[in-house]
Amino acid sequence: MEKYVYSAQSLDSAMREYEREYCVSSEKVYAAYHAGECIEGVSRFTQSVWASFYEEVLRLTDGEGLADEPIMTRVGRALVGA
Amino acid sequence: MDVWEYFQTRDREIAECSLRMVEGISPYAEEEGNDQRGMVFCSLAFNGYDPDSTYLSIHEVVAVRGSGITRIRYAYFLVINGVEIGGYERHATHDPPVHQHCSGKKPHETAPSKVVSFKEAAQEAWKYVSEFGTPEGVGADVEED
Repeated sequence: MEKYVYSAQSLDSAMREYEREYCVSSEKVYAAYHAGECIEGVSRFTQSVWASFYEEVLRLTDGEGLADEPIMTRVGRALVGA
Repeated sequence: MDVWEYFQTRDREIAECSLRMVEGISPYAEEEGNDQRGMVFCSLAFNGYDPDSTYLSIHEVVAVRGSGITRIRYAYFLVINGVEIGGYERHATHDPPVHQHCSGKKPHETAPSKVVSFKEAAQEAWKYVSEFGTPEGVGADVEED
């Protein structure tokens, strides 16, 4: 069995790939996931994985995230719908 | 114990459930610098069915707790003939944390669920695949005039 590792950087890269593929921000997906809403064109499984990666990045970076803007700030804005 | 022991068990259970990994993917990974936490992320083909259209998508976040493994999070979703039929999820920040999406009454409907093992989810998925899936090779030899 080949052993692989993941990091905040690799998970963040995967999320950016999702963003490019589905043309929707991670923040929007995360907020929708928690609201129990579906996003057209994004399967429930993909939403679940996307949200999982999102939370893992936050955990691995102590809530800071990796993007220019701290993820927690963007999460907060997404959750209040601003 | 580390997550790789768990991954070996998962590998064995996949075969026991008559499922197989789609070739060319690497479904298991540990957190960088921490072999006590890891992820599973892959699609599994059902033996005898077209892996491109009928598959079980699985994602788990697992961590070693004491002498065992906890699935902090899981998602097992079934796709038949390209359509996401439903699945099971466990996620602490959801309400309820353990739930299913497979009533068949409306898209993305959520209902509470008991915690399901991977094997239980796979067995449940097989019921649907057996009834609604198209076995490999069916219609393959039909030629149109």
